[in-house]
Amino acid sequence: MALANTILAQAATDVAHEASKGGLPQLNVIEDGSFTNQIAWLLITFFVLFVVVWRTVLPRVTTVLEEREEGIANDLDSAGRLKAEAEEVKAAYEAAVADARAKAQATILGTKDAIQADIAATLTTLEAKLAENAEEASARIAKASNEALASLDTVASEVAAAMVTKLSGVKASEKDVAAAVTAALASVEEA
Amino acid sequence: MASPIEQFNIKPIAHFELAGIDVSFTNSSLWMVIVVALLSLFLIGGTRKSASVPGRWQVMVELMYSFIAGMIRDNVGKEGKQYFPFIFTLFVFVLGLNLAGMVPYAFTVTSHIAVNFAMAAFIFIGVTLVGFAKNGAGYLKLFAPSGVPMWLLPMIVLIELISYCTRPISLSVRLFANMLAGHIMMKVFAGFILSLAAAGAVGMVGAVLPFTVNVLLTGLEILVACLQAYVFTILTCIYLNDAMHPAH
Repeated sequence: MALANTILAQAATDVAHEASKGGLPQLNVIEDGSFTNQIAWLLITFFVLFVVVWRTVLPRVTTVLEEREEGIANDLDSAGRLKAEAEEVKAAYEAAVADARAKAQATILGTKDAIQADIAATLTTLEAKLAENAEEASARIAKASNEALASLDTVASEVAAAMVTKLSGVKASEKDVAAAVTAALASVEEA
Repeated sequence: MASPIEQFNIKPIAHFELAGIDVSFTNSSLWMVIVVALLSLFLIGGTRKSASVPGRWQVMVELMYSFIAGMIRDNVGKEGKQYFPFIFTLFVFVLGLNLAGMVPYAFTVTSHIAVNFAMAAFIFIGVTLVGFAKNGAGYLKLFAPSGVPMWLLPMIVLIELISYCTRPISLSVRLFANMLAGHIMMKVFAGFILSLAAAGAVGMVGAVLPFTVNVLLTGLEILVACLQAYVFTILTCIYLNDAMHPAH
């Protein structure tokens, strides 16, 4: 501590000694005449810097800042325009998709209807054909049965004639037998 | 050992005289020239490419531009734009000189009241001329704020007048005193380091303390250098605002 005190005292003496020699140089500028050269060089250097700033630096920075602002505004502008365009394209795409979907639906429905109509038509034709076939068959059956029935008389006559010959030994005339059979059949039918 | 105030001595380098007036090139002039040269290099170099997407250097210049432009917009308004080149030059000039003073062996130009007072006086006269040019006799309303009772008015006018006329003194002395005190303090503590170190092994260890203080002081002085440049400029803006809009 004693050391520090000594040093502080020394520093104080130094400053006091210097001050007694004439004090701060700043307060002697009129006596030593340096205020004129300080102000003269202040004017020269300040003016040079002012001209540099005024003519070169500030116009450059102003221009670059303006250009940047303009550029950003332009970029924002084109970005907005592109976004609108993209949205338009998206809307068009969505419309196309919806359209295609509707068309596909319609095609499916149309095809389904056509197939069903086709099936129905085929069925109708088939039924008609079947009905025709059935009719034809029944006609054939009826014809066959009529023929069979018609041939029954002849068979009966032949049987009757054979029976008469066998039983009585008399050769009956065909004509008589036929008449008798017909009569007998008629009576059967009546009964 | 060198005295803490020896650093403020003006040393002539080349002697010139113009119409009987001493315009010698001194260490002060040398540092003004160095600072202006470096500032010009920095400002012109930074805007050399003027790229829309700026590099680091250009960003620094642009930040200074926006900083001063914002200061004028906030404190003076739109009409202050015509004084932009002067305010910008003033700021970078004072900032450059203050910061150059932090370089070891450099001369701190703004630690001299003569230079500061010349700038403050120029600003004072300029602002007063602008005030009368823009408002005519209406500029005198600055000294008589509206809404003051009649019986109080003479005193208020007197106070306002004194405060207006002391503006160049307060503006220049503030910068001068800050620079002077800071640089004396750094020199004094640097002196402590040498005195202690010369006092043997114990002193060597003790010298760590003033050394630490000096490191911290250096940081503080860089802050003060920037702050005082800012204060000097913003006060100029406020004076200019008074000249533009005296009825407050």
